[in-house]
Amino acid sequence: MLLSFRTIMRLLTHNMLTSHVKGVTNGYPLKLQAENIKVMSVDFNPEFVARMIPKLEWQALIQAAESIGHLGDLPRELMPEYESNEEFLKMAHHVLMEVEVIEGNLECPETGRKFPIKNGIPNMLLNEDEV
Amino acid sequence: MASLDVEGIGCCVVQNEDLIRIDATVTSGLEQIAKEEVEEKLGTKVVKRRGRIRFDTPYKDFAHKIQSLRTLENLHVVVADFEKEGLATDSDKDAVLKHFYQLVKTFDWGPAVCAWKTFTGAFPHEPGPPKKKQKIQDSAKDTSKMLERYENIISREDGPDSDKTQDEAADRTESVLSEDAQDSGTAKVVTQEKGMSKMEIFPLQADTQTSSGIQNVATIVKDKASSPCTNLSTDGQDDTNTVPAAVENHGPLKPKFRVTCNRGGAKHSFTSMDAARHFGGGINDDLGWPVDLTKFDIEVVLNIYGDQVTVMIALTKGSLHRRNIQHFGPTTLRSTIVNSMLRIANVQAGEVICDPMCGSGAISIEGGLDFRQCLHLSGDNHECACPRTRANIATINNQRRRSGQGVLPVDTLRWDVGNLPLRDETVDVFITDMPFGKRHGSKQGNWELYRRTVRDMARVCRYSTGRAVLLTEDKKCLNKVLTEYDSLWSKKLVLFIKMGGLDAAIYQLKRTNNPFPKFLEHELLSSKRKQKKMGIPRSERVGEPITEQLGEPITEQLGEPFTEQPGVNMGEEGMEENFGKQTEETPVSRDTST
Repeated sequence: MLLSFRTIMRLLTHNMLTSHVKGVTNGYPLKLQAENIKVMSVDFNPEFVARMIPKLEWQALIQAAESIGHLGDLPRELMPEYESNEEFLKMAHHVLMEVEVIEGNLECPETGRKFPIKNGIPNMLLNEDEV
Repeated sequence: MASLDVEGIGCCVVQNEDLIRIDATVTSGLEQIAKEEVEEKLGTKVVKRRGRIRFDTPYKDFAHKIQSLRTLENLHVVVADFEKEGLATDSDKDAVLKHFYQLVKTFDWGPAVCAWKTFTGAFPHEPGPPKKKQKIQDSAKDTSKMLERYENIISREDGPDSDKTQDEAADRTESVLSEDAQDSGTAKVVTQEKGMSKMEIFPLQADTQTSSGIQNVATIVKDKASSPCTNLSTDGQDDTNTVPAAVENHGPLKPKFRVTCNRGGAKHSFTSMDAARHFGGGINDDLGWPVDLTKFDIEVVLNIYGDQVTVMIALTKGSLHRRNIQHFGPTTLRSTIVNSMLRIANVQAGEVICDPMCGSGAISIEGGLDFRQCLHLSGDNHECACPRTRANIATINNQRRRSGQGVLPVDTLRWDVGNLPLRDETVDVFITDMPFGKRHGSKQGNWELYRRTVRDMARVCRYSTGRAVLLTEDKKCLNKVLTEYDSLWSKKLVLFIKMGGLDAAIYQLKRTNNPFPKFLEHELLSSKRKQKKMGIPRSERVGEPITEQLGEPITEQLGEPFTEQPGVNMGEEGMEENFGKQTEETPVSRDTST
């Protein structure tokens, strides 16, 4: 294939993904290796961001953002009353929704198994022997 | 009466406060959901009929308001609706048909035509599409070509605005791909592009409306010789055998029209074609509009059901259910049904919505457009499905980018639905269209698939607040699977709908409070039973728990009390009798003996 594919995988999605190889107990979070990153403009929705934050693993998000160099000024610890802090919400929105990994790999922290990002989509299918 | 030309009407005929009556078709079974949507968005009272709903709305701004309705398929404005006593039983065919011819004069066409003109915008520039839809088939061997096409679209998504024209051409390209296994040997890859001179279309099937179950046949033939009518044309010419010049050489102000007639509910003495012919004849004579069956501007719909006659003008040129999707898969779901399912799921802001078997991504895309305060995850295991979803998303993103809007909050992955690579309790709502086993998959395979799906969804879904909305035709399989997992999912509602002739059902489930156990008792039992059947001696049998180590005896697990009562919970939810059947299921008693 001559054309290169783009995957769109947001850090928000990455925060929910885990390795499900058989026998793995510590498959989260997946290590993110990005070769190509793009920043896209997404409509800012403060209510959405405020409600998503408690559902996230904040440390995993910080790690992933740092590993691809897009942490910015995002605080490492969640401050109290972040829901009303518009500036913080905007930064969180940017890191969660607007930074998109274009090509790369997701690596299981326990087994080292790499899930490739091919044809624009992360391929999380397991082989026969891994199930 | 002077011949009614559209330009002459203007908007002064209808006042802003005047009410116009809208009649809309809906997928059979979802009338209640559509009614709720209209009542919520427009605040008017809605009347339900089988496969359609009707409501009044003030003329002011109505076009904008009804365009925001997303569960309706075809929209019409009602000209007249009345009951003609004895229509069904009248055996004098000629008299009845003459009556249809004369009916035209009795209506006030002004408000309806005015509403039509406002809704459709410019007239007479855009004639309607041909009535019969042509399905274009794609051979399965051309998968690589198809994937390449998707690649183009996806890579263009991040490209600069300089290739705008290319984007627009791509958007205008309507390629309906359907991988019908039966016809894979004979079909060719074909694309139909508006504005391009080359057009190769292989007509295969005419699309027939099945929502109301009535055959949709319509012709209008101005058969002057056999017309029983007397001279009714306006300029006093004698037109028994010749067509008046005013009708033949229509000026730019007279809209071309066709009459579509649906007849049912009784054994009338006439056919729908007869009625359409005479009614159209009346319009042609009285209003002076010329006839064109394929490139029409106005479509007049004449519905006859028993003694009830309704005359309407169609507002939408094609059904609204084909919006959003450019690249159709073999089982793409209608956007109107998708929207109804999202409403059933009661999606809230800040939730994670997941479609683990997305196909062409219809559900996530409609969700991303209409419920933008959520994250929509879509996934599939098929190699064609993910690129197709991405291409559909990219097409919409390109359009939105050009109009200055942000991209859709939708992500696509490739995964196995029975082994989702998601953490426990991360998803709020699962919405999916499960394989029926007809066009995709098999009834046999469904047993395994549905079990694994329901199981893993229970692990990933949030306890007690999470829900699932599943659409399937294989109700027997899903019912059985749900009773097996009734400690994890409770059935709130089952809605029966008719999809293209198939009796499908939408299941609304709620995740119970019970945590996802290490292994499930009945699965262990059934696996031991299987091994016994196979003749493996007892000492060598293994219990096959799901994720736990082998050989663990069952007795330890039986002591676990479940906090919630298993069973089926059927809520009434305001459902009325005339629109859906409901099942009564008794709770299944658990077999706790070893």
